[in-house]
Amino acid sequence: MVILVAAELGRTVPDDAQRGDLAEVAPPSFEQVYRDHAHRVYRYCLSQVGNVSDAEDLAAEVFAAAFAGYLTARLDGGVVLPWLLRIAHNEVIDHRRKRTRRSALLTRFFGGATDVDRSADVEGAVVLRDELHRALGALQELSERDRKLIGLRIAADLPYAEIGAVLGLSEHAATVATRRALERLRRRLEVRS
Amino acid sequence: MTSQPFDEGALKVLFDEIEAPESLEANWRAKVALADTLRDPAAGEIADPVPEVPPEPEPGPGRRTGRRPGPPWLRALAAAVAATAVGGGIVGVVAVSRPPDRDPDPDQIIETVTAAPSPSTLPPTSFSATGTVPTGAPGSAPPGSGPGDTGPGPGGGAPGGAAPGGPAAPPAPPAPARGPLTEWPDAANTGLPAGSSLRTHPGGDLHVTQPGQIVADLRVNGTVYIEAPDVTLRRVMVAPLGAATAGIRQLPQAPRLRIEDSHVTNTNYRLDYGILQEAPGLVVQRSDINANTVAVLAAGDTSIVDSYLSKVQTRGNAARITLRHNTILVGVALLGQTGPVTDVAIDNNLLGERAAGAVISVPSGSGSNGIRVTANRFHRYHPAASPVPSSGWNPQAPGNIWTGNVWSDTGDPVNPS
Repeated sequence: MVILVAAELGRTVPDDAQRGDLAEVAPPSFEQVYRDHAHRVYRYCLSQVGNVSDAEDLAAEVFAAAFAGYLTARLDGGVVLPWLLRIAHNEVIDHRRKRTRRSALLTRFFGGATDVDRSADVEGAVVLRDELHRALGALQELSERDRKLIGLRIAADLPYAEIGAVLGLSEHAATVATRRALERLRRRLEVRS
Repeated sequence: MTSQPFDEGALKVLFDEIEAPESLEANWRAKVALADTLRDPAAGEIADPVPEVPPEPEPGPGRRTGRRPGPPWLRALAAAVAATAVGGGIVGVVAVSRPPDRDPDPDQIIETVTAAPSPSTLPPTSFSATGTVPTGAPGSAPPGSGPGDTGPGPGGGAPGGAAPGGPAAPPAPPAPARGPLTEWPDAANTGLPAGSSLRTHPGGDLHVTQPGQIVADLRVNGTVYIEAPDVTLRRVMVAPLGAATAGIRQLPQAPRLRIEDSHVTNTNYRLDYGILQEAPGLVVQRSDINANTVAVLAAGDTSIVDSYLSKVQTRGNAARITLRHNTILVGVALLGQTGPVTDVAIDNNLLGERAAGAVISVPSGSGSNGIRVTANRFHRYHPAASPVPSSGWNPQAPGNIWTGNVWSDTGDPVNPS
């Protein structure tokens, strides 16, 4: 049997006139998943933590966890991004918990400013456009729930139905909640201006 | 932005301009490599009581030379370094970490009749398999009616078809008893029974070349090529370490394969097929089969019972397929691209937990008939997906039956879509 090398996927498939069949049904390899979703996962992480270095570290945690989980998750293509973003959501929570604990220790022993100073976080994003820089700053002032909703909608570009799937909400509830969060972001941006 | 009216679209555009840094890929791969170093590098998913396999003897005629260098964590670390070296280029990573697949090369078949390892070159603890030649004529016994595996009988030997009278393999431990499943198959009650004691095949791929061979209690970190009729795999763990076309490949010259209490794991998510059936006659029982594309690609005269599977598929020109009391996470795709599919029983399965399309796809072309979908329980779908119970269902085709199928949570009837 001749083997067709599907170089773009880094995989091989039997070449026996089933290519259309495989193209239709094959879920993506993990390399393909990474290639397809790296940007959106990274943007979501950036929207949640507000600085590029933490965002990269978080996104790396997400893909490392996803790599391990992908062995057993048995996901089909359509549900991969919501699954990745659920992992990202959990990583963000972990990230904040660790930072809060660390800042409490710093405050306790050294007093004064801590490393969870939000303006300092955003100042780290020097390579970002100024408008995005301000938006990220405003996002960090919102509640965690609002930030999450906006991150999923704006940064990860999810439709409302998938936002609901990630957060365990109905599509309607996700729509209403996201719009309200966006309204609060708008007000916050006006105040900052 | 703040001096202009708030615009959700403009905000999206701002984020769309952001790209993940090139270093991200090397970063997450390094984390994977680090995690691997913190766990037992040799154990994999199942604790292997056998100590680290000693280095393989120098390759000689008839011995496969494909043993991969170093333990998984070392390879992962190497992959991370490679990822860094190529600056995050995913194609580059694939290129350095994935050897090209090819068909079994007769010159590289391990454990052939003429090249079975001697006890002095291959310690008996390095692998385990019983080999029992059936008392009947090879090829005459259907799967399931072959010999037992209580120990090496006449012709017992190493996996891959060691010659009768060759070096005797150590006897397999008693098989943990396990009957038909009464609960839905899952990762806990299928695959290797609790208490299984595996030894590890010392090479990468395993070639089973002797008719009637029984391979038992073995871990294979590569593809198992079935190259002879009436082979049985019992309590076998198949875990290809890199990308592979198939975990178990039943080649055209190898009808009537039987697989019991075995596990094909999709290590690194780079396995296309769990079981690739290319000869008639396949029985799968109480097994956990996972793969990237399809768990079992069925070719006909196929029976899968009490197993935990990602997806079952046909290509066409297939008949007499029975899927009974399995958990099939994605679904069943009876594709008829190479010809009709006939005489299929999909009965009493739990279906569709991970479905993203049609749970049961049926060829709509003429000639496909006798497809019976009965008494299955359809899992309520993932909310982010939009699957349907079926596609291509033709109620007019002779022998097509859809009855007794219900939603698993409510018991309400499921009708074909």
